[in-house]
Amino acid sequence: MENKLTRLLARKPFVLLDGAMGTMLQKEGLKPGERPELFVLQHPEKVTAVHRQYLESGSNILYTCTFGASRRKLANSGTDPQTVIRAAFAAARQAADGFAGERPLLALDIGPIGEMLYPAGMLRFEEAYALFKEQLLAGAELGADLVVFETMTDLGELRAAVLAAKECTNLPVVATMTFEAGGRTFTGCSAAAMARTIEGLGADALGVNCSLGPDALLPIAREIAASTSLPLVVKANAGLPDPRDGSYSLTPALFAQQMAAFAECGMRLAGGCCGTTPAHIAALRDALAPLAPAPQPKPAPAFCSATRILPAGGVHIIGERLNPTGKKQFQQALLDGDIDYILDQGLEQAGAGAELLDLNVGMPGVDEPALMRQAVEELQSVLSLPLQIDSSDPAAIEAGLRAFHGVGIVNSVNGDAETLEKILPLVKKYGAFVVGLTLDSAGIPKTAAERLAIARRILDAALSYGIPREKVLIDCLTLTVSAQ
Amino acid sequence: MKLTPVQISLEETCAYLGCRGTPPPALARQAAEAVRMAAELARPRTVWREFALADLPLSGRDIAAHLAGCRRAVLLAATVGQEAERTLRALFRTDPAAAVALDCALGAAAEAVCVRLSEEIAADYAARGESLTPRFSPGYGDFPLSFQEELLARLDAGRRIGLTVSPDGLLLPRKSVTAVMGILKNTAGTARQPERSGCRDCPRYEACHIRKEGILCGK
Repeated sequence: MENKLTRLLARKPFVLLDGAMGTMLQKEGLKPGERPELFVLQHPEKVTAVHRQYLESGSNILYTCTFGASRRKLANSGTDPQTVIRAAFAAARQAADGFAGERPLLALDIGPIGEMLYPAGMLRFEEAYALFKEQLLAGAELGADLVVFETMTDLGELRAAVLAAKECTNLPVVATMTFEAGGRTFTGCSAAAMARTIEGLGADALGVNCSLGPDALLPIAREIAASTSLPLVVKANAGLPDPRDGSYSLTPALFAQQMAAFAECGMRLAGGCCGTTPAHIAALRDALAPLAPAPQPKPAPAFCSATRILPAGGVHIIGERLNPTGKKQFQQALLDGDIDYILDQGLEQAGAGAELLDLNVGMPGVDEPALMRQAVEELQSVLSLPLQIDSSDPAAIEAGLRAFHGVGIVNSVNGDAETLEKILPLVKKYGAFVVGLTLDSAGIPKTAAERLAIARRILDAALSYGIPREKVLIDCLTLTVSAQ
Repeated sequence: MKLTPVQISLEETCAYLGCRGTPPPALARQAAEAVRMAAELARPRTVWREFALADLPLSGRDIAAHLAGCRRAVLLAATVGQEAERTLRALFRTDPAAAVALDCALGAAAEAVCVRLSEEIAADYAARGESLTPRFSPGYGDFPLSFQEELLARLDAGRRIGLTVSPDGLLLPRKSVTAVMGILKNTAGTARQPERSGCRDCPRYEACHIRKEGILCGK
């Protein structure tokens, strides 16, 4: 979908982002531990001055000084997200207004909430969603050109943020996480899983920020580039800070030289994070000027959880025991809301070698969407397997897809037009794969040709909703001899 | 840097398990296995930074006494990360006794990471003719737990090592340690050598069964 960000990307080989705000403001009197979001209320002119310097260094996009402006982070500060975001946008706009060069895009900058999501912490997914929504609505109302979620470490939290942006605004979405040298975030989320999951939710660009200096980020950027077709973002630190005085080690020239290496893995949006200055961004602009980003190869399809990738090709073992059909004990567990039973079954299958788990909690007398959500949340708290959401109820399918932090599978649709109409939009929205059964309201056709025709119908419908061809899995319903 | 099983105290793990004296063989085996798993699962991360004491809003008589004679202090944070937590939750379902042992071993692992970090920092300062006081953490004596938030903000600990604090003051990931260490000039006559035991300052001094076993938790 075309938007301000995609139009900018279409015009430029590299879109130049800005550099650090926090470490720049520290030179202007912000004390360590003090919040830039409160500083902007007291000294908007100093924030404007930093923005202006980045514009003069070539930045095409300015990140507003709103990184920690969530209601949770601002608790006890005497202010609220709306006030901070208004002041921060005024400061950024002030810098843009008087600037003689090309007008920049203003990005509503949103960082992590600062509390861990369940099950590591107490914050629930929907609470995180509500906190992000409040910031997003404030930014959208002030005319933000896009939103940037950055420095994220928990895929669940980033999903809540991206979903809030997609559901509550029309803003283009950029999402970056912070990774350690091993290519995982502090919560264990891999770069590849982040890329696949967030692309699936409909972000416009994604990548890595903060973390480390550019050199150490190169393998991580390569992994992201190999896992997404979206424009790659790299916003690296100027090395790591010295614990004695907080200074960063990379000079602008060295930073720019290291950042230029990312052109080879298809970087399209480039900037700096902690410790970078307008001089770093100017050097980066000059270093990128003679270069062109390498074309990104199309990634091979894969299922994933936050911590595990499973390439979609080949033969995989799907545990199918989480299903009440014909299982009295399982049925009773569902009626009793006994999630422990489901977890034990899941763990047993994982222990026996399952690579994916099918999850079906549908039976008369239960609140299937609520049970599905709970079962997904609890299963992913003890297991790292991708899930296959198995239901005929669109509400239960959506509950499962919403709760699952990864790229899963919907089991299933068939050639029936009404089913396709209800379920395929959910598959598209959450970036899942979908199983298409070659049957319709008339039953299972006898001939291969008729089944192929249904498969075509399913595929065409999926494509019409924007679901990529490789995410449609066709089940030809080979029946046992005894059933024929 | 990863931990090796040798670096995690088996004695401390047993003490956290509530075991007094020599553990029975089965428990000793379980604790040893838990220590092995903890070393495998721990993802040690640390951050520290020096501050002028005048810039730190420390409150309480105990921390003031602890830092007497210091003008600067090091804030530090260490964690074994949250990666182990999923394994721990799964183990609580399949083998609760092993899970309790692992939980204790991860606690000992966090302590081991913190000890290693303190030693590294101390060596760094020793090279400049300075020494450090023992660690003093929020929650010791009358040093309020509410300082955690400020301490983590000063260290930018969320961004640097993924360490956060819940609204009620608990560190998350759970197996984490934060502390303050004062910086002392090693000039002749005024040097105050660091002591190992801070037990007397501990609010749990009377009740602590680990101390009664003769084990210091290092705090």
